[in-house]
Parts: sequence; C-alpha cells; structure tokens
Amino acid sequence: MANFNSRRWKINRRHVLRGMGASMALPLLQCMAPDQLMAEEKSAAKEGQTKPKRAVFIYVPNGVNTLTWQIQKAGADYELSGPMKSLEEHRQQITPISGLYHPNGIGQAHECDKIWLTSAKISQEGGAFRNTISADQMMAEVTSRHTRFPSLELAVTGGTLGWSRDGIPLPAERRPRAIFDRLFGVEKGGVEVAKRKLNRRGSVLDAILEDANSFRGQIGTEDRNKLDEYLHAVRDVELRTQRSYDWLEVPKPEVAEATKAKLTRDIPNTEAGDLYRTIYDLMVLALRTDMTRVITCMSGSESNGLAIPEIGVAQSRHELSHHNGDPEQLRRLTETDTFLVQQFSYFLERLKSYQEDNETLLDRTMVLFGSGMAYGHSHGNANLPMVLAGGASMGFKHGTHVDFNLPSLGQYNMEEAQKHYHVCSRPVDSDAHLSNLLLTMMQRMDVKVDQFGDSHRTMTELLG
Amino acid sequence: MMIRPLAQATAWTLLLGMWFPTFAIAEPTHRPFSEEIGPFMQKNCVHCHGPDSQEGDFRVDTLSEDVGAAGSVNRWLEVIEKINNGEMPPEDEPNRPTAEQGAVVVEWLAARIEEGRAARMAKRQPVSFHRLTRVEYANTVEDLLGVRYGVADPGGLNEDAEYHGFDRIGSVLSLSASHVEKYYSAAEAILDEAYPDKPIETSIVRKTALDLRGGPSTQQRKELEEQGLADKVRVDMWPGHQLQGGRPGPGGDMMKNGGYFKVRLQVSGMKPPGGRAPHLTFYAEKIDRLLFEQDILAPEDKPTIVEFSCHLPPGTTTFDVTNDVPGPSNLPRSGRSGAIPFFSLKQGRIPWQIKLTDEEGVPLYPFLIVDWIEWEGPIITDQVQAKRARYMPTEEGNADQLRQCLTRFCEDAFRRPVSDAETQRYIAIASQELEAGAKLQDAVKTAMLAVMCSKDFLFLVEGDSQKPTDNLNDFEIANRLSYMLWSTMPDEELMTLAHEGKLQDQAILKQQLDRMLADPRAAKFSVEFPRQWLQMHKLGMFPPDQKLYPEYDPHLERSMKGETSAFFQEVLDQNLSLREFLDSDWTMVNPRLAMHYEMDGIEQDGFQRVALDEEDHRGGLLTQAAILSLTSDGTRHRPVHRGVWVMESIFGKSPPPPPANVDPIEPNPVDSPKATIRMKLEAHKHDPNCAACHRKIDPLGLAFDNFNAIGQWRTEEIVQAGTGANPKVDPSGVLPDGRAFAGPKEFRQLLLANVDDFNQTFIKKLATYSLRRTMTIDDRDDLEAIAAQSRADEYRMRDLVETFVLSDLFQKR
Repeated sequence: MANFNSRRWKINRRHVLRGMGASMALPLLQCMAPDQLMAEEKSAAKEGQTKPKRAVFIYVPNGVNTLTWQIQKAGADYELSGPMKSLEEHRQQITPISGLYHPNGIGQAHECDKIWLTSAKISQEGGAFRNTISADQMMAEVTSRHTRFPSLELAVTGGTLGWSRDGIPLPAERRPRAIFDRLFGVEKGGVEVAKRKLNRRGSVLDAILEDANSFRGQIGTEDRNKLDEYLHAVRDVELRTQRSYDWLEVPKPEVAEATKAKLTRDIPNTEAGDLYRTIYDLMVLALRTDMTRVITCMSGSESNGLAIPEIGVAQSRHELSHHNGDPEQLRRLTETDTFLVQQFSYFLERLKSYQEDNETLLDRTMVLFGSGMAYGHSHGNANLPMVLAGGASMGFKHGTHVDFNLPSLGQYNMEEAQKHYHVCSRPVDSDAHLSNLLLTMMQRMDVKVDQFGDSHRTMTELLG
Repeated sequence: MMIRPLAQATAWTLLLGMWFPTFAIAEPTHRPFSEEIGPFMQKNCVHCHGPDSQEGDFRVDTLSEDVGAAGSVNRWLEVIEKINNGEMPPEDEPNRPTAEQGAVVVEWLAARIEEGRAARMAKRQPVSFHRLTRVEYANTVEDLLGVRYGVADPGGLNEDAEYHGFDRIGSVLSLSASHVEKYYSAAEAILDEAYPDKPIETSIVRKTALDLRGGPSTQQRKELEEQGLADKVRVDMWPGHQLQGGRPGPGGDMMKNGGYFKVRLQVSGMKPPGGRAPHLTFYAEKIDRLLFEQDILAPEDKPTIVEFSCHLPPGTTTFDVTNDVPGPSNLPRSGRSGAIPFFSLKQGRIPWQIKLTDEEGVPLYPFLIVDWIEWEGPIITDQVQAKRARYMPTEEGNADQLRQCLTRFCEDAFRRPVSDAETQRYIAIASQELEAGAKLQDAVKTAMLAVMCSKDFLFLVEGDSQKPTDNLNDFEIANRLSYMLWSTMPDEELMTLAHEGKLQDQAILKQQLDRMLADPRAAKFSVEFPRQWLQMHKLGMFPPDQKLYPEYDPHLERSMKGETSAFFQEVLDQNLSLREFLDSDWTMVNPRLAMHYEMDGIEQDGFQRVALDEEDHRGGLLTQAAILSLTSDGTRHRPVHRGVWVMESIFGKSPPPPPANVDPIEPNPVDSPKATIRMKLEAHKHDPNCAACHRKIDPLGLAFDNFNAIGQWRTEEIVQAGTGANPKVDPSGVLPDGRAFAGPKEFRQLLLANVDDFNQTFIKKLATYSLRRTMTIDDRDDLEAIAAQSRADEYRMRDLVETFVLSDLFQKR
C-alpha cells in the first residue's frame, strides 16, 4: 500500500504536471500552538504573519420589495430603510449600494443567481449554458493554501453560487449536520483509520486517473471535453484527499459538545429563523477556526425560498415576489425582506463578537449580501439590492450609502411605483457594473487581476 | 420522402415563420444570408457600424456570415438584442425599418444561432462520453449488485443539469470534484451493503395496534390483555392523522446494514358517501422519501392487507404513516380516541366529541383503521445473492479466482468486453491491499470501488479510438436500447446476443425490442421519456399558493404526473396514433385526479382509462392538469408560457428569446376594474416590437385560458386585486394564418391538421432522448425517413418506436 510519503511525492509531481508550479503549501492554523506545527511549516510561517483575509457572499433570492427597500439619500447621513433597520447597529461596518447591475443579467428571470458572482452571459434556455469562474473561487485559489478547505459552498435552500474554473457548478451543502460533519467531523478510529481510508481513496483515484489518462493518450487531441472534465474532477478530488492527508496530523479544532449539539440539529424548514441562524453560526465557526476563508451561501432557492411561519408568512419568496401589486403581498414581501436582513444582521453581530489580535473577525471578513434581481414581479434586474459589510482590515471604508442612481436621477420618486420599478428594471447609470465591485473585492483579497467579467474599474469610493 | 398537402404546409409556414426550420420537412431551406440579412444590414447598419464609422466600437460588415459559428455568435446575439428592443437603428434615424422587417431579421438570425448551438452540442468526437443520469445510475447499480441507492436522498448524488427538459444530454451533463466524491461515497455504501462485514439475518417484526397507537400505559395494557381485548384494539386514523405513538419502523439491528424490506399492513379504509377515500402514505423522514401510497377501501370488519417493498439505507430512520386527506381537525377534542383504546367506529364516543358515523353507522369522514404493521427484512433474494457471489472470490491466495471475479465485475459494470490490460489495473489494487494486510473481501471491495468510479462505469462510451466509425458496435447498440427503454444496463440476454454479434441483425433487434417492451422495466420509458420531452420537471417547481389553490396537495401533483405517463403508456401499449396526444376522447385518471376533473364513479385506486365527453372539456395532452400546471406559476396561469410550451413540445420550435429590458407588465392596480392576464397582454401587444413575436406565440396559449393554474376548468378568471366582478375568460383566437378558434376544443381540432409537424417533433424528441444529443441538420435525412414511415403507418406509436430502433439513425453514432 502506498504510504504517506510516496503519496505526497505523487501529488507534487501532479502539481507540476498541472502547471501549478508550487507544491502544496502547508497547513497553518491561527489557533494552533507553536509546538503543534510540523517542522516544515515553519518555513511557511512568514506568510502566516500577514493577516488572514476572508470573504463571504450571501444571496437573497427573488429581489426585494424595492418600494420599501430603497434608501433615499446618498452619503453619510442616509437613513436606513424600514427592512434594513436592523443594520443600524452595524452602520459603521456596512455600505449599502444602490444602482449596480450585471449587463448580462438584464431581463433574466430565474438564472440571475447563476451569474451573480460570475457576470457571465447566460442563454435564455439554461441547460447547455457554460458559466465562467465565480469571484469566490478566484479568491479561494489564493487563500486555499492556508486552510483545510479551500472554500465552502452552502445553501439554506436552493443551489450554489460557486462555479469552477471550468464553469461547472460546485454543489452546495444544505443540511447543518452535513456541513458540520464535513468541517469538524472526526473519523471513527482516529488518525490511523483515517489514514487507511485516505490511502484507499488514494489508490482508487490513482487507478482511475491512470486509466483515463492512458485512454486520453489514445484519442488524439481534438475535443476531449467530457473526458478532460472527468480528469479534472478526479484530480481535484486527489488534491482534496492529499489536503486531508496533510491536515490529518493537525487536530481539528475541538468544538464544545453543547455547540456541536446545537449546530447538528435536524431543523425543519418551517423553523426558518433557527435554520438561518444555525447556518450562519456554522459559517462563523468555520471562519473563526480558519477552516476556510471563502464562503458562499445561497440564502434561499429562487423557485421555492422558505416560507417563514414565525412571522406569519406562509408563501415562498417566489410567490411573494410576484405580488401583482397586491398591497398585502407587498407588505409580506417587506416582512420577509426585514426578516432576511435581521438574520444577516445577526451574522454580522456574531462576526463582530470575535477578536483576532486587535481586530474583530468582521474587520477581517468582507461580506457581500444582495441579489441578482431587484423587482421580482416583472424580473427587473437593475438597481440590485446590495450591502457590502466588514473587511475594514482590507481597506474597506464604511458608513455611507453609495448610490449610482441619484447623480442623474436627482431624487427617487417613490410615490409612483412604476417610476421606481423602472429604475429597478433598466440601469440608470450604465457604467455601474456589479463586476466592478467584485473586482474590487477580489483585488482586496490579493487576487492578481485587473479585470473581471465586464468590469471596467476599481470602486475606489469604497476604499479608505 | 413524404409528400405533404401544400395548403397545410403553407399555413404552418406562415404561422411559425422561419424559426428553427431545420426539421420542417416540406419547407424550403432558409433564404441565404445574402438575401435575408445582407441588404438589411447594408441599408440600416453599415453606415454607422461599418468601414467608415464604428460607433460603439461595433462593426457589422466584418461579422461572419456563418452566424451560428462559435466565433461570431456572441456579436450576432448583440445585434439581435439591439434590433429586438428597438434600440437600433436609433429613433432619429430616417427610414427606420418597420418592426416586421426587424422581426424577420431577428428570427432568421435566431434560427441560425440555434442551429449552430445544436451542431456544437451534438458534435461527434472520435469517442463520446455520455454520463449516466442519477436515475440511470441508481437503476444500473440495482441491476449490478441488487442495491437500491438513494440518489436523491439528502447527501446522495448531485442533481443533473437539464436542457429543454432533457437531463440525459451528454454534452450538458457536467462533472465536478463534488460529483466524484459523491460517486465514491455512493460506491462505498453500495459495496458495504452488498458485502457486509457482518450479514444480518432476515427477520420479521410485527407492531400491533397497541404498539402503534400510544396512549395505554403498561397497566392499561396489562388489563386489556387480561380481558382478552389486547388483540382487538385498533388504531383509528382521522383525516390528516399520523401514527404518533410507538414507532412504525422496525427498529433494532434489522436495519443496520440497510437493504430491501417488505412492509405489510392490515388496515380498513372507509369512504364517506360522496366523499373521498382515505389515503395511506408511508413516508421515510430522514431520507425524505415517500415509500408507498394508496387509497384504502376495505370495510371496517373486513380489513385488507396491503404489502409493499422498499429499500432503505443503513441506520435508523423514522416513518410517518398518515391518512393523507383533508378533513375536520383531528385533535382529541374533535373525536380521536386519545388515551382510550379504540375498538370500532360504532362504539359511542365521548359525548363532547363529534360523531364518526351517521345513524346507520356509515362513516362521515374518510377513516383508516390500522391493526398492525409488519416488517420483513433485510431480504436478499437467491438471484441477488448469486449475482453478488459471482464477483467475490472465496479462496485466499487463489489469484486465478481473483482475476476471474474482477474480470466478470468489470465486464458487467462496463457493459462490454474488457481487455486484460484494463482489468489488470483493478486486480493490482486488490493485490496491493492484500499485501498491506487487508482481508480478501475488503481488498476486492477496494478494487470494485475503483471500477465503480471509473469512466467506463459512469459514462456510456461510444466510439473507437483506433478506428473511428459511424456505426455502433453490438455492445453500444445493446446499451443504447437498454438505456432508452429501461433506463438501465442491458440484461444478460442482450449481452449474450451482443457477444454473438447478432444485434445488427434487424430481425433479432426487432425481436429484442418486443421482448423489452413487454418487460416490466419498460414502464421506465413511459415515465422518463414523456417527463423529459414534455418538461415535466417544471411541474411543482413553483408550488401553487395555498391560499389561492387550497385543494392542491402533493397527492394531486403526483396524480397529475401519473396521468401523463399513463396516457403515454396507453398510446404505446395499444399502438395508438400520435393524434391522440393532440386530441382524444379518453384519458387516464385515478380517483384523486377524477375528483380534480369533477368526474364521478372512479373508486379503485390506480390509473384507469375513462371516456371523455363534451362536458369534461378535455382531450389530448394539452388539457392534462400536469401540462396546464407546469406552464403556470404559483399564482396564475401563464398564456405565453403555455404558447411557448406548445411551440416547443408540439411543434419542436424554439421562439427567439424575449428581448432584455422589456418594460414590466404592470400589476393590476387595486382601484381599477379587474382585468384578465389576457387583457394585460393585449396592452403589451401594442408595442410593435413585442407584437411581432407574440402574435405567433400567444394564441397557442390563450386557447387554454379556460383552465386555471392547476388545470381546473373555469369560465371566469379570478382576479385578486381590482374592482368589480371577475372578468369572463376569452379563450378564442386567430392564428396568424387566419384560422380562427372559439376555444380549446376547436383549437385542438385545428391542431389535428398539423399532425405531420407533431410527428416530426415527436421523432426528434425521441431521437434526442435515445441518442443523448441534440439533432442537427446532418440528421435531417434520417429523421425524414422515419417520419415518412410513421406517416405510412398512420402515426401509430408502437410502430414508430420500432421504425426508429431499426433505423440508421438509431444504429449510428
């Protein structure tokens, strides 16, 4: 059976083959005592001295009730709108942004979540559409060397926000227990059993890779898409396996029994608040134990986002978003918007409650909360609801409402709903690309890019 | 080549314009670029986007005339966008083209782009890889090792991507690391069940009414036993009631390894006169699976025994056994027996509880009365045992036996012969594991794990890297046929014939087709093909608003799905004409759907053929509740969606995408008179840019305005907001060719005149399903030949399937 060292050698060889150049960086945990560090890690310790940079993306399905959501005034003395009131306590850590849009998202119905972090052009029919890499994954390529997991893709309900370099969706975990087990689960039987299992996985992966590779050699160079996709996938699993192996000797952070019990409950969808907060708790836990530095979370499915019985809303978000102008439906939509922001506010509060050196976890975590849809009823995808939070330690300066509509709009006309729906359906400032924001966030995460999707500038107005 | 009456062809050419003309048999090929597009561009675009001036950095004169080709397609899409939404040519431009002229250009371009896309998707590689869908994976594994893996359970396999309803298109099915990890875990779980470390003996556990109902204390129980009444106690289940006391599951070690279980229940089911029958559902909570459901009809004193089989994963799960029908509150206060043992409906209730029966003892509500639930398992049949034994060596140190076993497993798993070099790779894994001290069974399992994660198991591989060929070999034919009809791997008989090289013999192929269609596994075809062709995945995607449609429930949704499959199966089994899909005087209903359709006299559960008359307002596919629901959203019917669905599913044409940036349809203001969706759409049609396309799409959907979002007949449209009475439905319309219809009935009759268009669509969809790729211009001749034969056979479906399987198209890559 292959042993630890020979496996490591194989992986390194593959790295070179893949053109990744560097060998796998070694694990480094902020919470680790120095004597736990393996000898090799010391050389990498220098890097550990730079402050960890983290990013979280949270998606709101189906847009919002834009009539109650819209903040009226730009600048520092803005007033948070009704549904966003719970963010008041984080005022100095957030920047609501109005007027952003994805040029490729205009007119999209239920696909806008897919391009939220990629800005790709999507076909109307779905299906054969091939996405491009999402911003979070480009960040993960940079941060992954420091953490046990390169990134986490989560969802309360619904699909994923993360797309690989090949434009393939990275399926999201939904259940709290599954998420917890993936992060903190410990193999029964301890390290030896875990090693055996990983070795077994290693030999299986070796065999199927060799098989596919030798076949690949036989079929010439043109069009090997599906086989290559398979090869990439298997190689990725091999890297993950190697990563698990590397981290085996590093004990997983211990999670108190009570916390574990709380975070692994089987929470029914009808307990929406509990479910949201549990997922957010898991995210905070993953970040503060440095299991990963990049997380995406789909906070609800576009087609069937959770009903929220605890505030008396029995319909899914999708139903509410097609409110047909009914004041009662609109009121409920605002209620669920308020609810989702309250959960988000809870998440920020949790991030703020943890200190790293002299900064809070929130200072070291940039969080983007928003949607790819504004006016859900008629699929209006301009003036996307968007809040950027945290990340002060990476240079983000908060406290103002950044508004791309007002310079040419002068002021919002909320008396006539149609006027505002129009603002939410067609961009007022056609240069206000959401990809500019994504680019800015990526650059702050040390991703070496000058451009992302249809971006055309860095949003310096967000930086101190 | 068939000849079609010209008048008819012309009518539909007019109606459908030039969208996607690839398969419109009698239509001429499209006009060339130089006639249709060139002059338009020259006149309207080039002076600003040409050699002299490139406004917006955009030049149209240098764009490739090969519109659908990968290199130029994105720029042409931009052109479409701009013309479509009226942005270009700009308003201040003199001599702007009319909206109609713009629409002609847009449609022509859109059709070329769609062709280009189809061609790219279908591009044949020397060797093509079509990944199994997760449904096919589950079926294949079950046939291979006798384990039913819960691919859709939480943590199972990832959902498959879908393209125009089809989820088995090779080029669309992607694979990520997460897929591989899930295949790995799946294979581990499957092998652990097939070859457990500690096998579990089959046993039988019975839960009596006293175990199931909860309530009686140990003391009461003892008393009941002393009185000889313990076995007389029954469990009364009111509408909506779930068994709460005691666990209906087997418990103990029985489920430790997972496996197949038989469940038997003794139960009575009483239906109130004129009401619905009690409906038993058996649901496994942790894995989110409905294991069984049935209407139960059995008198109180003559309970029946129902039995079903299920496969469960290892470990415990909890079960909900429910009388899943609406009814009065079942709180103890209203009548449930609570802590007092229940014996019979006829016994007096506590005075303050509501009555269970009328004076004659006839039940007032749908009641279930359960006596016991029995579990038997895990069940391993001799057949499965023998299958598993073929792959597992028994003698330590017997290298030949190891080789034989693993070779067998590779051949079966890969569904083709394997070379020594191929098997060697897997034998080597087992050997390594053995050297490292693993037990024989574990070592072999590791090798099998690799086989089950290898490309040859997960993909249907077609083609030969050594000598590229267009024709399928025998094994490829066996696989294609088997995955088409059964959604699973070929069986032994097919594989034997493939080994003997006989499947290219038409007579034998035909005989196999007959055999396979007669096999129970062929039921998969009647579920899977219509599901994909008709885009049934959209059913329930936007669950109807409970306030607007309180009668909608999961049972109804499953019944809707059931009708469409059963209808398809009936057409196939009876070798009926494809015309039946367009209009029929019969359909298939179960009691739940009959209630939905307001039909009387359907008592026995299961789907049965019923005759339809005028008052039923139904016939064919288009009035089936499933179709009418899947083209609606959670709150209202969507005439445009219905129109697009008819275009795609019946006429096989994809209308060009709507332009981005359309002004939203305004919600109905609360203080204005109520308006139907149709009225609001009409308002939209005044915009000439919209009207050009919508006048072709909308009539196809508006014809069904008599059906609401869950497919119920209506003559008024219920509008939530607004003043005044609900407006009357107007289902009439005029097709662009001038043919008028008054409502759905006339519309269906008009459709019958277009059976040839439908014939072509059906064949194209069937080919897409079976060949796992989109059809292109290159397939045109083959498709035409099949269509002509189908026409000669009066469009009989069974004959058509045979023609298709025996065609060149089916036997080519």
